[in-house]
Amino acid sequence: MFSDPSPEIAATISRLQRCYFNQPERQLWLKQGEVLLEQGQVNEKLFLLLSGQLTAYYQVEPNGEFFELNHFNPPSFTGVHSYFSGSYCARFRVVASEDCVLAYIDTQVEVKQEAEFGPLAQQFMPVIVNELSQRQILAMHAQVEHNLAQQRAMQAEKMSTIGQLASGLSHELNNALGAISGKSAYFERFMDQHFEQYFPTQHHYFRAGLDSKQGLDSKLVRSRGKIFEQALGVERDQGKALARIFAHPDEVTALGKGFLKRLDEYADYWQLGRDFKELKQAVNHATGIIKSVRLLGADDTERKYGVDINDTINCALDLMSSHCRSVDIRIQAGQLPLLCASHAEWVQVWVNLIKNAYEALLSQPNPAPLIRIKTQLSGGFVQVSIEDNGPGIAPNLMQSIFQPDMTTKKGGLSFGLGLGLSISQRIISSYQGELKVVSQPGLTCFSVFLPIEVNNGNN
Amino acid sequence: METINIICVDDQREVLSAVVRDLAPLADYFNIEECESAAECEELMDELDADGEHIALVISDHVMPLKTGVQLLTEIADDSRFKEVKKILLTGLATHADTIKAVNQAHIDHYLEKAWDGQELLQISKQLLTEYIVSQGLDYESRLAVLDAPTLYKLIQ
Amino acid sequence: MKQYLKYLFPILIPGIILSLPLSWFPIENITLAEQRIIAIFVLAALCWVLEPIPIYATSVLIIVLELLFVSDKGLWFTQQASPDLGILLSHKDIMATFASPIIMLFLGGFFLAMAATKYRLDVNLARVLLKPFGQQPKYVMLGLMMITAVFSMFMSNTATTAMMLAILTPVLAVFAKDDLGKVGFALAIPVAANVGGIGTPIGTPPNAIALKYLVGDKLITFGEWMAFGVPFVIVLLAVSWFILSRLFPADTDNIELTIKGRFLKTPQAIIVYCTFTLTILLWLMGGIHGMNAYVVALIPVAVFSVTKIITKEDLKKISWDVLWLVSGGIALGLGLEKTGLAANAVAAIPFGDFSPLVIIGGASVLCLLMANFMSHTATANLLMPIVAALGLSMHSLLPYGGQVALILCVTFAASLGMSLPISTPPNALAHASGHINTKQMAKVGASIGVIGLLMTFAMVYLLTVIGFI
Repeated sequence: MFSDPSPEIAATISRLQRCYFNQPERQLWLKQGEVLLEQGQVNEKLFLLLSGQLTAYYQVEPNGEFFELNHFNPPSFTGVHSYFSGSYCARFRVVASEDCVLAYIDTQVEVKQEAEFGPLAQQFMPVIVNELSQRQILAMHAQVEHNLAQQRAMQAEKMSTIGQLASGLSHELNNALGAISGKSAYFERFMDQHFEQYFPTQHHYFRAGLDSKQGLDSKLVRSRGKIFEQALGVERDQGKALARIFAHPDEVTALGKGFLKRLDEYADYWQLGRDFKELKQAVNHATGIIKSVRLLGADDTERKYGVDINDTINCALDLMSSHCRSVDIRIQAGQLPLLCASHAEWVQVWVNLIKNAYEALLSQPNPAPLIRIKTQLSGGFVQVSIEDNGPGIAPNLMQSIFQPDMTTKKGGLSFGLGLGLSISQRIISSYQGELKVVSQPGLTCFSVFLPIEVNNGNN
Repeated sequence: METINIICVDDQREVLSAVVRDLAPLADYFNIEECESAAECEELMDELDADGEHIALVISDHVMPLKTGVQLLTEIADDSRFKEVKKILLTGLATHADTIKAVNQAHIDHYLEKAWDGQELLQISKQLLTEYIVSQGLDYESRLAVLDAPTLYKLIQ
Repeated sequence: MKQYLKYLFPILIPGIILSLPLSWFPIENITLAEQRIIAIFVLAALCWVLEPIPIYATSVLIIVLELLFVSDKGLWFTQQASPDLGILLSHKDIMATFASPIIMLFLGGFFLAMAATKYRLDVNLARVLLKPFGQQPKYVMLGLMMITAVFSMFMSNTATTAMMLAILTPVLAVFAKDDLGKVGFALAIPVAANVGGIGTPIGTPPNAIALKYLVGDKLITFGEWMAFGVPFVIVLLAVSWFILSRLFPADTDNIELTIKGRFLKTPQAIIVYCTFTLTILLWLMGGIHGMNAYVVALIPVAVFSVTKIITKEDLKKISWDVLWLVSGGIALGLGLEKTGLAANAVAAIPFGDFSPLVIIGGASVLCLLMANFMSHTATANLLMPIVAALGLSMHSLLPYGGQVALILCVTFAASLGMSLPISTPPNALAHASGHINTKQMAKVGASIGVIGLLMTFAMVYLLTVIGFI
């Protein structure tokens, strides 16, 4: 656990080892599991670990559980505190976690090279200080780890609250949507039959509207409308109505003059049919979004076979669509194998990455903000790259972007779904995947590499 | 009679057609245009203006690809050709900051939240159209049927 | 009717008239100038009825066509010497119609109204005057009608209606949905505005057009007009109020009109109050001070311009269309009169055979009918020259008041056309409130029109009896 000593320290240690820890009579062999020091017991020796490994344990309460503190690897000292503080009392239990060879000095040791290096304590000073600072670092790491764990716990709690909220909300919304779609379907059927029976001609146009394809965009309607307007001598809005229904003015001419006379009426029926179609589309859209929110909210980390990463990306985009509308998002999806994964986790990964890209794009004016998402299978990995043409990540921030408290946001839209990249990275690494980032002004690319071998559900 | 245009902007087609539906009672007196993006709206306004037609009202969604409604309406407000155009922001999602921008920079005449009430939208449109017609000195008598009477009373005293 | 017909007729029919040989006209010794005036008259009539162009544009067209074809400085071929050419008009006379005294009278009226509105004299007066009428719907309605009528005597009927409807709108909003009182109130305003306009020469353009023909020994001064006009308005208003409150009784028993504001006390506002009062007093005094109504009318124009109460921006807002509409009528009358067409045409039809009462009744009813379907001013513009000529030539009319009686009947009838939303701008505005349907308006408008016409006859008879005319 301790980091390797610096060259100066190492030199000091080797000198001390030569001077004090070379006497074979003051060497000790420990088998794995044997106790070197017992917490609270007298210890008047300073040990230097020559080979093997020691582990320190600490007992908070008498007769309580021992907590593992740290491992010592050679060359490291044990008993520094009890030896030099003068308490001669071990503060930890130290156990050989492997077979060990140790050398030691006791209080009767003869000070060597005193003229050159000073008294014993002074000779050992660098070692003591090194020891102290190493412990300090250890404590710091422990604190950070502790905070992270707490954050994760809070995040999990938040997610589960969102999940509960989402599932309650989606239940209610689905009920309402069910009523809307059910009743509009009934209404549509009723009108369909009614018109068929009593207004056969109008019914034809109602049906045509109902069965119409996605249709032209407004610009095309306008330009095509003008053609109809000129060809048939109708009003502007009539021209537009015709352009929606027909492909070519000749089709209208073929229907005879009577048709044009009653055009407004027929166009109304067509539009009515079209309205029903759009009603259905709107309900589908809403249902899709509710489903996505629920998937995301339900802290569903259970991994099941049959997840297509492309699906999870689409689901994330559904969720983000209302957010990211001012950005052009292009997807290039390759054929991917099914994996054993948690749908919700991956949706969360993509939401975080897309949101990140979106926020980067928003941070500076951009004439054509673009997010490009590409999925492909390459050499045993599912590779997903999310590119944006935003300002890029500053080199000095590059190191810290995966830290949980790293943010460059200054207010604005926020989905409030987590700690962004750090969570994404944690999820990705839990699949033994990797998240890489390359950034320069105008192009930032987050790439996820996911090994198929590990995640194909066979192990 | 001069052609007076109303332009509705929304990137979602079904929402756009719903807005147009709500404005259908005005269709006999005004030309109602649909646009699916801010860019399209700007192009159309350019064209209509070049044809010498009036643009009385722009009803725009806020959250749209590439250019938001507030951006669009701000540009319209800044364009001297369209300084009289009445503007409604019709949105389901706008932050506080966006809303402030809409009022201060785009000088919108009305803010409507989705889901909107068709009758309300129609009524507000009528009021704004009345204001436009009177301020532009256009003939209101022939369009009395679709104008907002109380607004008219106030304006022509 | 097909849209293009309304453009086609006003071009085609005058064209045919122009191309006909003179001998085909049933008027003796008809001249080319007279033929052209007939064509212009028919064009004007068709344009005012069908309205392919705005009605004031028709007026401008009349003046320009007269200048081009019937004036001494017209197009060269129109002046080619011919035994049939007839009398050409002086171009100065035609142009002078833009600034005829009648127009100046109206301009003065506009200045007064504009200053009053600008310094909120109108709204403040309305607030004060409405107070004594309490809060009972019936009396509030009476109060509203009286104030509307008084205002429309000096302001344009349209502006008065808009102002009063704006005051009324919040009140109408709190009425129950099926409360007939709403209809009554909404109708009361345009009715009162239309009726009130009859009260003074500047109340409505037809009155001014009539004044144009009441000259010489038939002169009616501003004060004299009001002497019979105002009582007539009061009585007809009372009748209208009775009809409205009977047909559309209000269910609510309390109506509160809230008009906010206070009388302005700035020096300018005080100048407006004083000038307003002074002008009206001078009008009412008749000729005692030597000035006639037209001269008096220019006093407020001068005062308000000098004191910057009416600025040049305000000046742009003057309803030039109304002034031009009247000018066109005057020019049309001028053409009919000066070419001698009016007299000739009247002579060609044996009116002498008709009973004078039939003439008065017929002309008034025709005027009332026309006024219901087209602009009151345009109606007066078309009918007044003919009626004036007719009245002058028919000696059998004399026992019944002669020309003056005929002109007054037709003038009043022109203001009584108010049965349809299209009859007058006040009607259109009230109809736009959405509280009235056309049927209700027709019922009230037609009955008030008919009653008003009968009252006109009675009034003219009375005036003849007392020897006023």
